[in-house]
Amino acid sequence: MGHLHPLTQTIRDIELIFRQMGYTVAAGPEVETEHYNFDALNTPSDHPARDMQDTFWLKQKSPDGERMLLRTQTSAVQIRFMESHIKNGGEPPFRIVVPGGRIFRNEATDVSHEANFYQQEALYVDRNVTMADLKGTLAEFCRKFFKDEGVRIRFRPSYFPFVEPALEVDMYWAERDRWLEIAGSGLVHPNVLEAVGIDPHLWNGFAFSFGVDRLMMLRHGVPDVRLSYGGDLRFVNQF
Amino acid sequence: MLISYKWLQGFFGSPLPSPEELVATSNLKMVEVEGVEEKEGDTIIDLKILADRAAYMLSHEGVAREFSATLGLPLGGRQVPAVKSLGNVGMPEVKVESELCRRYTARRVRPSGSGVPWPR
Repeated sequence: MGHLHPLTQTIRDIELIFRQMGYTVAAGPEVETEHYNFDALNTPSDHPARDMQDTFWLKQKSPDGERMLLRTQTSAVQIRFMESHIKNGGEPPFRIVVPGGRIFRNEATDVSHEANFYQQEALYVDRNVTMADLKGTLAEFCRKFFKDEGVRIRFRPSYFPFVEPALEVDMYWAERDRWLEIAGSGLVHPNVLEAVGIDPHLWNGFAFSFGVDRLMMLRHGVPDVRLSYGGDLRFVNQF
Repeated sequence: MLISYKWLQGFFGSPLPSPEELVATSNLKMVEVEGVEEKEGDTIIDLKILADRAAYMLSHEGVAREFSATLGLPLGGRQVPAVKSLGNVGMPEVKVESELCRRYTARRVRPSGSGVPWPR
């Protein structure tokens, strides 16, 4: 009868946990325009942070003559959701999750890097959203996903143009006695809200993104990210 | 950005905490540490400087200032010597074309040594 790939299982679990926390599932295209992937996320073409993500650019242009690319992050879905939500007369508060969206980076592969992989993405916009809300949500997700009430997470300063402040999230990995980076996050940058017509003086929010492959590897002790995409039955049949 | 522990120490009047402590401080309060390497009696710390801090942390002096502020450790020791003014060399010409420009600074740089032509 067959069974589900470990990544599919992981994505379904992520979706279930966030649905239980009241999140709506959202999705977006894998081929994106420069606008949604970068400009609307506070990363204009002269922004140095564009170098942080090696991008696969496409030769063809969009119908509007815009440059197109394979999305480098699922954060583009934030913009697509907010834009259509506001256009249709909606307003905050809202909570959305992309349980697993494929993203692409133009880089060499090794045991912890793939040129395409899955990202989870979550966005919450409301009044008076704080870092404490963010940490509470992340910890709750980790407790449920790893089925461990003792999960510990910590924040480290980082930088992504579309959030301020920006953080990396580490989880304590007791088996190896070390902290492991599991997500990027932060409070939504006012410019991002402004770009979609939400008044940042009235509303704010948080956003975060887990590496789905990383979550799967941690849960099952998989040593090499490339195993997921190799199609080797000796690997897949273990799940 | 590779930072030499010994070089960094030169910016401080008092001894720095151990390299391990600097790594922990940087990871939690400044920038991510990508690697640590022992080399020729020195410790080389590899800092991941992202776009937001590149303007002031892509140098040993910038990193020293950041550690100084984070650890509350005053800078001392190596100082950049003040350059004696060459006298009145005239104001650089600046034309403000937009009301959106609320503030500007300008500096005229001139080669030292005689007979060197002014840069255009």
